[in-house]
Amino acid sequence: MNIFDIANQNLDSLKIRYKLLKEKYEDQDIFGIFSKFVKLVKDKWTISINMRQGVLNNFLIAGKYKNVYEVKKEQRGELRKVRKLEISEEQAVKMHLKGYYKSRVTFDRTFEDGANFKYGALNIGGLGLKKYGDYCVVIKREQSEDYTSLALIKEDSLNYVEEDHLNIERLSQDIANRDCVHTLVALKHEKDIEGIPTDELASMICCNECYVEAITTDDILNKHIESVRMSKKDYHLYYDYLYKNFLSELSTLELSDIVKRYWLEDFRNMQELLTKQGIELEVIDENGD
Amino acid sequence: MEIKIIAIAPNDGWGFFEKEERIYLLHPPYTSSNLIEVSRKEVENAIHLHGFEECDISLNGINEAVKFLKEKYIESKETQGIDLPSSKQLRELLKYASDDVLLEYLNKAKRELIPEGKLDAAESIALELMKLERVNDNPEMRGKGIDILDKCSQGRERVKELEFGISNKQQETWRDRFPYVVDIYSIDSIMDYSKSIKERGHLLPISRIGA
Repeated sequence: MNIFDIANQNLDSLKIRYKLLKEKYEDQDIFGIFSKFVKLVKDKWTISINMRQGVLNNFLIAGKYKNVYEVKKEQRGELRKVRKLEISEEQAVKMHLKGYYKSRVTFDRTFEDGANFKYGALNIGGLGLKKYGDYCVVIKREQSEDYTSLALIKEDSLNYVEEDHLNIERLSQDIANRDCVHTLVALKHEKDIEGIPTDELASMICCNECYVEAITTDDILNKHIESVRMSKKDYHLYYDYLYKNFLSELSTLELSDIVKRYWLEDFRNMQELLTKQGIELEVIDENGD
Repeated sequence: MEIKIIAIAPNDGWGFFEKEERIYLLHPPYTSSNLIEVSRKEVENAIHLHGFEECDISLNGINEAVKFLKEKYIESKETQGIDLPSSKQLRELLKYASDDVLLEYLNKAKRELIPEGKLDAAESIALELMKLERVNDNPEMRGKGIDILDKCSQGRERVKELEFGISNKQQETWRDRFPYVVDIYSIDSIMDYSKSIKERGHLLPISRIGA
């Protein structure tokens, strides 16, 4: 089964459902808000991936984003070199995933090329899914459109795994290709848009609690990055630590100060890599000040 | 209250823990806003998609969990052979700071450090910032930097004057209190003698006999 074919096959159904939705709102006051919202999504959508500092730095150094299978394959190679240890790829992934092996692998294994899936989220602005990383890596719009494979799922793909099987029927209705991004989002949020200020629409579409999942098998390279976003609060926190360093208040002996020194060094490395690679660091004020 | 760490990303000091059948994510800088409740599905995604490792470690409360995650983070740096960065290395981060941050540094140096007498720190900030082209090219920031340096040198002058004043005052006291001694000995030798008495704790030198 090919997930991207399923996304393509859902095109007509999404278009019909979207047409009905538009007709429903046409005579209502909310139609203006609805149209603006759809236009905003159409104009601004792209893919983002949230990363922790270490993951982002490794991505910028390696030049290529790796999924868990690729990381484990690499580590397996290293283990083989160091300990002459022979373990299969499946064993390596199983060892890593342990009790959490089942659902995700059920999803990946249902589809051809599942081991090459890279997961991101649909983004029209904001800091994305901060629960998986403070840094929101935003892919260039033209690149997101250019990925040869791209499927967007209305919610987290694990929500479609029931016991030991995938609910294909439900997934087939909730999946879109790049041509139907705005229709999928409109259908998902039709009841949410009224009363939400325009500057909060971005975080409604992509936040810790709610997101449209994006899957591709294409390579995600550092040259695809449009910008990296971080919160103003975090940004200023790093510079507060640096200020303490000027006052000689960051010791080299206290556990919490040692940690701060390493955080600052990681942050400095990231800024150096971003500058060298011509990638903008966008500092976003979550409070809108 | 016992908690159980169920997944960690040691390279970044992030971790999920279970407490009274609820799951929480804890991550740097470990303030209350960095503690969020999550579902088991999110732990699964974190492990599968975001490089977390499953673990099963019982600890006594959140403070212990924070300590554990910090130690794991430092351990991972040591394993990678990354030395603790020096203060000088960290200062390089300044060149990436926004104008807001640089201005804030200069303002703090002027408004907080100089009045507190932390002249070395204020001067160090001004000098370090004035190495940056961006600061030198910005009349406002450059002006603030020069002002800080001026205020620091004025501050130091004042301290010197104050010290000199104290020393003069002390000399006057000697003259007033011991006019005959001052006629015979110099002020410096009287001060040296006074200092050695203070250090010894008694008036005359004592040697230990038969020791």
